[in-house]
Amino acid sequence: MNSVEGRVRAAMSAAVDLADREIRSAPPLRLPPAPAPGGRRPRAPRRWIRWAAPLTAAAVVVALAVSLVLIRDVQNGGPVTQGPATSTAPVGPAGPDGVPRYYVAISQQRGVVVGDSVAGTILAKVAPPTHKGYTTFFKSVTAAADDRTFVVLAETYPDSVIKSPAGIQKSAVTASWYELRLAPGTADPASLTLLPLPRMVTTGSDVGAEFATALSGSGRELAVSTVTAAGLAVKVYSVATGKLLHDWTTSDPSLSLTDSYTQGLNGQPSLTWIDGDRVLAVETASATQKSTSKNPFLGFGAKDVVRELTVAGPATGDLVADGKVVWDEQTWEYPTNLLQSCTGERGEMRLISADGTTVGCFAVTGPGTNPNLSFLTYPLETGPAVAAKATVEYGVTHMAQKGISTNQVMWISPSGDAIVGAWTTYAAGTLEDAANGLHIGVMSHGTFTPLRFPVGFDQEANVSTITW
Amino acid sequence: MDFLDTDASPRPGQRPRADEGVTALYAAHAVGLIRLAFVMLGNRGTAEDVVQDAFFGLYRNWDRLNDPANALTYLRSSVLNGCRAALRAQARGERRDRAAAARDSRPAFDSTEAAVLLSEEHQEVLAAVRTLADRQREALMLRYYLGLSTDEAAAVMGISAGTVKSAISRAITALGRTLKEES
Repeated sequence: MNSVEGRVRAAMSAAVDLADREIRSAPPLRLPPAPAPGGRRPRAPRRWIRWAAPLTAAAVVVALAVSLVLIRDVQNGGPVTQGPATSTAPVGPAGPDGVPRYYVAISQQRGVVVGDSVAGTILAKVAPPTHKGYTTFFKSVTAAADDRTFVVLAETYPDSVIKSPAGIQKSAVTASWYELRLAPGTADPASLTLLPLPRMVTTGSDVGAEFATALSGSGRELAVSTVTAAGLAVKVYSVATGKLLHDWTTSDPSLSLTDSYTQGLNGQPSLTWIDGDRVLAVETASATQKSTSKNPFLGFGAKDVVRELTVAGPATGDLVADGKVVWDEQTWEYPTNLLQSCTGERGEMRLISADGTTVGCFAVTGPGTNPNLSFLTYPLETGPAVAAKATVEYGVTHMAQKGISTNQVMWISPSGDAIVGAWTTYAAGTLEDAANGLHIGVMSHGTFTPLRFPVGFDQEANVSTITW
Repeated sequence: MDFLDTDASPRPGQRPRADEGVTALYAAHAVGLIRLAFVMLGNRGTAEDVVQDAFFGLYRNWDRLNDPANALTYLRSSVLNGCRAALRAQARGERRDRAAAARDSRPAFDSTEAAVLLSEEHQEVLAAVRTLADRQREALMLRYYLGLSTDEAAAVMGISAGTVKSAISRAITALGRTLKEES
């Protein structure tokens, strides 16, 4: 191989990583009505609705100024900007199979939507805080076990960078966290308060860092993971004081931002409090060698690993050395079994039950061009026997016939015996989603119990961010 | 197991309808094809449009597809054609707009992630790849990005395996010249 070819191969490899990071989903396919015999062929639609697209990720922004503004908020304390409630709802029982009644989701307008999935109503819409010259996006949500306490990750950017992304190479992003307290049935059903955690400002080589957040069941601790050029770090903070309680780091290149295929931890429930808040489960995905097999053709490889970190241990440590591996699955671009389908690229959302026993996921599997969709649970354990231990909680056959375009798992019960899953459909042969195309419900042992959301909810909020 | 509408399934061996077949192919391959187009074009929106057009074309021509098993090859070929057209339109636009930055100074990707995640070296090489002749660029992408064999790349491009090899050889030579000049 000459040096030019080597440079091309290296650049292509980097492009593969970049494309994998940047393109994680496709917009819904929009097909036109079938043409009438002899009629004119319809034109292809030029733009798609990107209902599930995350806010432009990338790196960006913020400087000292915004940090100072945010610090002032901390000093002031108290709730910040909040939109009016759209309705009030009586406090009621939990949903089927114990799914919490109230949820929070990231809205399509940068804020959050608070809703009741039993009554099917919206309780409140909460806008992100505003600071002159800066724009804040709510990015992800995590919940405590009480169905009233949530924490929202906010990312703040200078307006100038939002308008002109070309200058982002020298810019940074500031991450901060807000507590969202629900009081259903009252005049003030949701209040937002900036938490006293240190803001994280990514600069230099850390621009583009990914954050993931998990609130403990008690609501007293917040775990935050960051993937930077230096590697993966997991920190645990006191929600009340902002004090750093635990800090695990690793410079393992397979878990870093720049040297690995790791998809980042952003937007994934990759941190999970288990075993009564005594253990933190950390899930990572890293590239492995591409398969050289032609039959079957497997394509790109990845390792999906879950490590358990004991909070009762030392306050600092090495994430890899201290972590106990409880899940270790090799996956392929073209999976060869159900488990690989579940943990591979198309099943990128995986959930771990609070008792630490079960993984929830979905898989799209054959036959051929009209595959089936399965919502599954597996025991959280290592070894080849796991693949044979799937429990199909629910399934939908013939995705193509039903026009199913998007699938996800969104919640798993504490004991892992039920999950909340979702799929969307559009009316076959049309350009539009079906009027009732959003299906979200509790799935357990072959039954599906629908949860209630307002008509058009998927236009209001990013469905994949719904958090109970 | 309580599957929905299980009685609506097609009979074994039955060829799926166009909307069924295309939708299933989209679920399986859209992301990968958008990634390919994104690397070729450097712009996600355009890449998504190119892939949408490819699936739309497949939908229109479904009945003329002799074997649905060939659909992925058809889609890859359509995406390459779409990227070629998009790059030409882009080049025409740049020629018309003298105030626009010269092609060589454009970033390899209109993406904030790319700007921070790709090294200057990789951006330089990928930008140079984009300036190659159509056939050379496409052969390189199929072999080195998608990892297709020479025969598979030939099937997608509709040319012989030998032509794929010579296109790659010429591409490497051209890149060596371009990158040397730039350095």
